[in-house]
Amino acid sequence: MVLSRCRQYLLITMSELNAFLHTDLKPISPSPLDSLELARGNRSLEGMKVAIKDNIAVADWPLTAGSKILDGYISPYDATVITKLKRAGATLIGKTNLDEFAMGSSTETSAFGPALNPWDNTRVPGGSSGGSAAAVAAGLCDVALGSDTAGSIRQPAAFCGVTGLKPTYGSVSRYGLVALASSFDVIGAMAYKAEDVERVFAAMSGQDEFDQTTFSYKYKPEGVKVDGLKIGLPRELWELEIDPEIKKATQELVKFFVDRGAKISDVSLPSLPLALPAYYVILPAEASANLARFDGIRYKHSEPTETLLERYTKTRSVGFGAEVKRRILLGTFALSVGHYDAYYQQAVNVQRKIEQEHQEVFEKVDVLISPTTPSLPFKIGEKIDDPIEMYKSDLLTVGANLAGVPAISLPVGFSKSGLPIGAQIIAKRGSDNVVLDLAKIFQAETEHHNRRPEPSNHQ
Amino acid sequence: MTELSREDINHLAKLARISLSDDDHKILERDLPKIVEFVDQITRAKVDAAPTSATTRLAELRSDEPQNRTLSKEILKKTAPEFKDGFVQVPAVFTNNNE
Repeated sequence: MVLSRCRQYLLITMSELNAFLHTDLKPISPSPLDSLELARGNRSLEGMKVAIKDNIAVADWPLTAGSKILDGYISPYDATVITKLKRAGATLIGKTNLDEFAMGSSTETSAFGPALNPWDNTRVPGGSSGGSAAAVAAGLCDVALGSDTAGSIRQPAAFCGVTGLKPTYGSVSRYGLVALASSFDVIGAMAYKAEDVERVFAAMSGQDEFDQTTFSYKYKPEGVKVDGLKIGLPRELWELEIDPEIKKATQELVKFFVDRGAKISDVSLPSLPLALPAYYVILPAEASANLARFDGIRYKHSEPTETLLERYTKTRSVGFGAEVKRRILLGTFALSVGHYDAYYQQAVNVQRKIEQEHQEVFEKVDVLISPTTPSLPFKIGEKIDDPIEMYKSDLLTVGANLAGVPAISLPVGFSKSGLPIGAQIIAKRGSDNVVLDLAKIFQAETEHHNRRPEPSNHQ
Repeated sequence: MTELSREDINHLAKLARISLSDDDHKILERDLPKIVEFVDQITRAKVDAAPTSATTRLAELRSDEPQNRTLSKEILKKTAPEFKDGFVQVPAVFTNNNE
């Protein structure tokens, strides 16, 4: 009886939070073939229940990327990360809600309705990996996979009080991830504890012949020493308009390390204020090219028409939502004759400058620390009609994507109103183990990551 | 600042193979100029031509050899909207009007 009541409770929270799409899926447990691998000793994820953001391909499961244009499409193959999770013994429990094609910071652009924040269901869980963050926060899975192009793992992790890693670009294969902006997209894990994020990252990272941007990477924990650690506080991020409660909680994180022998210094990445505008040129440009493949022929959904040209335009007009259309047209604009040099080429110059400034700053310090988000989780509907305000959700996170460096968001406190607060630790390319180690060290002595939302918030 | 007229937006939509409803137009005419104004600040930034990033990002390239991977008809059948006599079916590319 207790069990069935639990099951019922799970179903209620699952449907009410709208964290999952395709709720009738049967969990996928390790197959006999995978068991061979398990028998060989790689059992690192055995028994772990993992939810998958619905822009990552799982064979024989639907794959919508939160869009009507992929409604009815069943993925014919597994993404590389899925193959690796299965081999390590993980159980896949379902697919999570997201902003349409991961374009958004609230999951409100999902064609299947927004996911809700388990800490306060009148607020957004963040995005675009909002369903993943909500599912972890509500205890519906142990770990969830997300993808991060400008903050899409870290911002929802912060909004839902969980830990989320945006790995080094190229350390995790993008094969089987629905492409948004291929230069920045990276798959990462979210969980309450950094330790669980680490286990999944260790299992799914590494070079992949199906993604030429991956490099040979083998995760190993480093055993970072906090005594003598050099922490940089990027002036351009700390000077932004940030909620005072978020700033204070992030300062507590810095103080934690300082109390244990770390040294802090103000550092500057002068081009960082241009990161968000540059991103909103490169992202639409890449997205408009990547989304050209949705033509009403290759991915099931199709509007009946007389001619091929009509097939393209009608399927895309009906299938894409407002934010996707906005970004496709913006990208078409940035790539068109007469605008290419002024916008796209200039944005790429800015991006590489930011990458260079990160390389230089990491010659002086080991890590950077800043808040993850400028504001606490906002109300559903608050920003959806103002794209610029919505884009500013990524002000603090987008720099790490332009630089290709790893960054982790971890819970560092709660507002007086009881909403979670996240801060991010950023390191140089390939130093994912450093940010994970520091998060583990912080969590070993603090309790923020052990706090759970009251069931009354999401019943 | 770059202006974006209704006509410009229609032209972009045509290039992107999207037809726009009146509602789409309302939203895009309100938002696109604002977004272009927001990103416009990069056009005024003094930044040197980009140093090559490819070397730092793509440290090692894989060998350029075709992989032996096949796509079965069964999979094609499942993913294509229309399938007939062993082929994916699409509407006519040319119509009488084009002749």
